[in-house]
Amino acid sequence: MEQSARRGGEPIILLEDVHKWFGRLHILRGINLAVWPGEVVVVCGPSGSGKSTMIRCINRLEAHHRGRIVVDGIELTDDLRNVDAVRSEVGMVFQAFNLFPHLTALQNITLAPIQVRRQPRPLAEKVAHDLLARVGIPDKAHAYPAQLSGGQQQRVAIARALAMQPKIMLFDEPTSALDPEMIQEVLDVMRGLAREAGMTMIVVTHEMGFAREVADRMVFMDQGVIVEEGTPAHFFTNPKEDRTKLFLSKILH
Amino acid sequence: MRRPATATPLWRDARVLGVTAQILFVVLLVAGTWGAKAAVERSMLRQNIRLDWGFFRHSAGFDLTALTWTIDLNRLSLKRYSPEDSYAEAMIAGLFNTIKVAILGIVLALGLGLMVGVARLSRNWLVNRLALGYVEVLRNTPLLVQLFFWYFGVFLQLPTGAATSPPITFLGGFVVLTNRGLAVGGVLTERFGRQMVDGGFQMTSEFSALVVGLAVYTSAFIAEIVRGGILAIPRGQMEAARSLGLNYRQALRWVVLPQALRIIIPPLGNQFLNLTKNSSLAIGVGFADMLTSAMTVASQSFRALETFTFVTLAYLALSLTISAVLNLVRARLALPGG
Amino acid sequence: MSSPAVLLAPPERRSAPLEWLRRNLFDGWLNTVLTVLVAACLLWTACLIGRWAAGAHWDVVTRNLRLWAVGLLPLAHVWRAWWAGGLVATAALLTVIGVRARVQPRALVGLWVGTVVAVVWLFSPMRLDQVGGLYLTLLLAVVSIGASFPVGVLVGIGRTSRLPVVRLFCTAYIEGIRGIPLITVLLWFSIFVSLLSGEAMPRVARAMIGMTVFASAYVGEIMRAGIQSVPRGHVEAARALGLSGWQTMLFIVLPQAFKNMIPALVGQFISLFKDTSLTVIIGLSDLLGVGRSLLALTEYLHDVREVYVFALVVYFVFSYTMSYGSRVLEGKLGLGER
Repeated sequence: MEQSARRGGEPIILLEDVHKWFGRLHILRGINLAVWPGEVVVVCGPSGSGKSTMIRCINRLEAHHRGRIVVDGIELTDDLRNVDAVRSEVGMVFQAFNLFPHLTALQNITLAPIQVRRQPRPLAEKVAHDLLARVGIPDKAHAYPAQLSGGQQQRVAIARALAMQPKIMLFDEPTSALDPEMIQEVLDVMRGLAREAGMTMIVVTHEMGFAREVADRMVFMDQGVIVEEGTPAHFFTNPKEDRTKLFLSKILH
Repeated sequence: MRRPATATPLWRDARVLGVTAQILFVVLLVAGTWGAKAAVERSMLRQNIRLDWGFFRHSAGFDLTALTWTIDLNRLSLKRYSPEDSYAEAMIAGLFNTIKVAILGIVLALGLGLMVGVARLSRNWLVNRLALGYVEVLRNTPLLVQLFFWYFGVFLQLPTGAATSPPITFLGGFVVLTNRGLAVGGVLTERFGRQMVDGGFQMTSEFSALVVGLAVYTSAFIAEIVRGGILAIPRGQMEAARSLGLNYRQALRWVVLPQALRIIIPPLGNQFLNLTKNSSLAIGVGFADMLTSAMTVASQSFRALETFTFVTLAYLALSLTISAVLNLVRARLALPGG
Repeated sequence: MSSPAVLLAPPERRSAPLEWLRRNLFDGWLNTVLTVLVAACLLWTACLIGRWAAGAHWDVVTRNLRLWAVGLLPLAHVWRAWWAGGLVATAALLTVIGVRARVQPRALVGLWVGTVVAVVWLFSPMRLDQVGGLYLTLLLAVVSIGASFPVGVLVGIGRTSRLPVVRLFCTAYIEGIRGIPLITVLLWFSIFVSLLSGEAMPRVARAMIGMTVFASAYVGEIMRAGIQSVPRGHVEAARALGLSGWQTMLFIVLPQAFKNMIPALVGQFISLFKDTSLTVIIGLSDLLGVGRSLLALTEYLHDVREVYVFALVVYFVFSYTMSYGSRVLEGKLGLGER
């Protein structure tokens, strides 16, 4: 493929002919995708096209039925050890935040480092304070999720995922549940993550301004397959497929 | 909007209407109460009944093995109940028994209910169905019939301890079961040709049947509450925990259970309250709880009206106390901002 | 670049029985051990129960079927009881069909008025206290359910009233009754009605009043929750359209509240059905009472387990049918999943 020719080296995420069914519904119909370290891939497409399902398969919140998924050299199978290994390398941010409502922001962030990585509490808390400062809410460490705005909650969720020092971050429509004035603050954090930290990211989003600015590669999905992919410049100005053109005309006004 | 500056007519004024309705309600209520009071007084006069609250000080004169501890009303200290004690002290002994049954029943019901609730969530089909059967059978039959079954059909059918039907023992004689009840940590000795237990912690058949029946019945309701509470936690919580690298057990321990507990505790408290109120069915198996003692007092003293007023108020006080404690717990558990 | 979007059938047949067994019973060694253990326990218990049931003395049931069904009702009156029951059952069936076919509500009201008049006429020559057995159990349940519904609805509305006096009274009633056990309410009505008015009122009627007074408080509480579950916006929208307070209650709040109340209400009625067994304690001979009086006969003295197991089964059949029916109804109305 053109991408591998350009970059060389091993992809950090590799999907080969991935299929998935929900009952009789064929939701993923043969996905082929490779992502290289440090790359930011933005996935878009109409609802029901399988975008969320695809990235949920990458850390095995959903099991795929056919094909191969390899993350950082580990193949995802039914072997539970592999699944746990992959999950601690892949951070995930959800549309509905999914913060733990019974824990403060700080406790949300330190839970996994303390329980999974066995970090001493003072160290985990220091890291958590640094992360909260990095996402712009250093003073909210002791607030409960219900006391935070949507944008603040999503930023805590990003900090929570980062606390496990993942190599890859997956974003599942991170701004879709937010009020318009809060979308930017979350996108700013993601932008910083891509530019300054060089994080490998797969982002499912409809924020096309963000995509144009940050993405290394655009992926357009429809009806369970990848219809088109390419650089943002190419993708937005000169799409090849009719379905892509139709979708872009609807979403870009 | 041109309105003359005169006052609103009375029949259209919302405030006047409201006040009138309430006055009418109060008048009806007072009239009803007064009528009932007059009727009661007339018939009490006719049947020569006079209220006398002083009888509570009279000596009770009846003995029941289950009546053990009471409060000495003269010195306000704990003492063992004896037949010379007053009626009031007999009823306090009954109250102590009610509390004893309630506490033991709640502990047992909670343990059983948690087990069955977790079994209801098991992925093993057989375990799941078995737990469902347990819950359905117990919830769809009356507690009183279950109590009769436990007492007459199980505990009274146990071996008598005679040579031909030796007692059932567990843990090398540490726990002994006969038709006279359950004994823990006593010594088996032979008397009058029967094996009996000396010392240890002894429970009569009535007490055992009551506690077991109440606990088993309530555990079915607790199981459903536990299951509902765990299922009520959104799936996203488990997913978020797993995507952070926590394994299933850790996610359950740190994320799902603490939240489920907040959902479970209020209805759980209601079950504790129900168990306490249901312990009044002790009257069916003849265990001397508060209500049974009150019935004995009423039939001996011919002071049914006074005794029953007392016992009703005592139950009300018990319930309100439990409710108040539950509200405190609920307030403590509430999350800020939630 | 783009792959062809081919629709494929799922790769595995999930419904294959072997796959089902593996997934639900033998998923990992822990589950396998659990399955084997539980299956062994179940088989052993089933054998024990089967052996007992085969050797039990079922004469106590089979020879006294009429007693179990209607108690000591004189033979001359039995046909009246059956006709009354049949009429009510037919009316209920017609109501269900009528609601399906969207018949005029007035026709249904007429049907029920006619039924009640006919039943009262049929019952007039027999004394209420002669009725017993399962018939009495059902009679108590139907009457107290039917009476506690309207009373409970009124009390529940009063509980949410703007008028403080009405609200206070209804709150005190609901919380007071919910704080004491049913058996104390029954005893109040059984002992003191006789104390004050002699034997003028049949004991069955006293039990019915006691159960209605008790259940109304619980229905009232369910009603309050139902009313408060209706979003405030709906009330505001109705008032903005110019509906009066009563019209808003009648056309906007109550219909929605009733729909939300159905599961809790059915649960309450099932528990009321089970609670009819408590009338044994005040001397009525309902299903459980018949069982207990049979046990007092010398020939059935030892058939304790048979009698109580039979009673449990009968109660279970009725109660489970009701809860199953309510689940079907909930599924049809799409309750609980919004």
